[in-house]
Amino acid sequence: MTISKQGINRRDILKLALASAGISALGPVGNLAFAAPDNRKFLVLVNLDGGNDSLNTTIPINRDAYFDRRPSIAVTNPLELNSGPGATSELGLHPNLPGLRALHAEGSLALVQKVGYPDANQSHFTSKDIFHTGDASSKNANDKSGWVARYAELYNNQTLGCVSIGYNAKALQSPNVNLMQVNSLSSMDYRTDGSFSGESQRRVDVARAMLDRFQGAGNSREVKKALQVGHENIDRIQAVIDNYQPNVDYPTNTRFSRSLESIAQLIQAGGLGTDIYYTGLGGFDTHSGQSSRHGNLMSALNGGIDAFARDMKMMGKWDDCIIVVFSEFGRRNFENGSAGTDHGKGQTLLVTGGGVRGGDYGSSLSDNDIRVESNLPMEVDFRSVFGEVIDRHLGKDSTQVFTDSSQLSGPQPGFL
Amino acid sequence: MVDHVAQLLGVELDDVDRRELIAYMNVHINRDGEETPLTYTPQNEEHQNRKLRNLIWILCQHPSFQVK
Repeated sequence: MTISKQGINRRDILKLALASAGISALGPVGNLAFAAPDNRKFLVLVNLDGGNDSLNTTIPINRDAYFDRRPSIAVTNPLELNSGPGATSELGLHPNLPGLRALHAEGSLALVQKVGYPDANQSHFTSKDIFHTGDASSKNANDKSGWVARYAELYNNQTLGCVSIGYNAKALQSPNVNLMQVNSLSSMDYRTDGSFSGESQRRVDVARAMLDRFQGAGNSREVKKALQVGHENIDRIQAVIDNYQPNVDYPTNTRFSRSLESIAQLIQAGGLGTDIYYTGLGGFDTHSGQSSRHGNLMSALNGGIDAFARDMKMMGKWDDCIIVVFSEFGRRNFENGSAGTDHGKGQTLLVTGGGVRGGDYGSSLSDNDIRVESNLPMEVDFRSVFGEVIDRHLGKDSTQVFTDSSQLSGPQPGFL
Repeated sequence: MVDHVAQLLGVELDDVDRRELIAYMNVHINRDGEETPLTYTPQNEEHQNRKLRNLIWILCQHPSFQVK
């Protein structure tokens, strides 16, 4: 970059700002109080953004209707799940999910079928809002708190009580809590200019001094406080990054796997008092050319979760871990004219972790479910899935988190 | 340079901040934290990488920038 004698302009500033890590990372950091390292149980939420096609993720291998309604996109070579404690002859997994099949074979992958909520909405925005808030009346989540934020407010109200990495989750947003959301943990690494490490350390000192002197009122005073606390703890985040000893090789080609590795870094550092980690993987809105796109997404999902699960096992944290994989809705039972699928309703959730009783939960898909209906039915409310993890794994009361009375009736699935 | 970047970012600096930032721009700090005087030159690419990027980072930590 060349800077003219006339000085720099806004475009130059943006280029330089992007090259300087940490600017955005510090924004949400406030009230950053670290708990002592512990062996707390934790939940990892994986949001498949765009509406995952459940039928091509967990394949009803014995249903002719599935193949009839998807003549060009049906998965014809699924991985069989006919061994292990949760063996089933009814479902198979997408062939790009061998890591998940291994988890199933060892009895720690639950497939929860027909998950949804009453009067399902097929708008991405509305359905995401409902999943984020846990409130089926949500039409706009901006005026409603996220359910993860409500959990934090009730049970773990500190900045790292619940965190999101690599996914901008409304579920963590509320005026009453200030939870950390960052694109990546490495964005907290202020020593990005390796050649000028002395400069980088000094800039933190100068910024801290400037903040200390700032006399603001109202909103800017709160921002000052958040930034100050962030600065005070940035060294501890830095220590997490510096001291991380990778146990496994995470795939380097997806942001999703890098996000999971960041979560693993925090967990290896003692968990820092976090109960819920939120991340996600985008691109699931497969209206056209689905087979190759969805196949690539399944590979990304498999690579991240497989590495993370092996990492947790090597850390001795697998029994403390539950991972729930979900989307804002499933997709239609039939393929459209563009070799893709359109927005649907019900979906199959994947739940795994050391304490999970593997197998398939919820009633099985019938031929009629696929042949006659446009969408997968919904019999299990998604809040009962999350609620079971809150109640039985995290040891808290999910009825305080999910207060919407319009849930699908029925017991929790029972995978724990 | 300090005034110009602060103006572009909409950060209002008091005299103490301004003096400290000017001082920061005119010192070379090696990896051991040792300081030697530096005359900041806007056209010098190493100065841009060494000082200007960090100046922007510092100003972006100012509450008046964060609330924009």
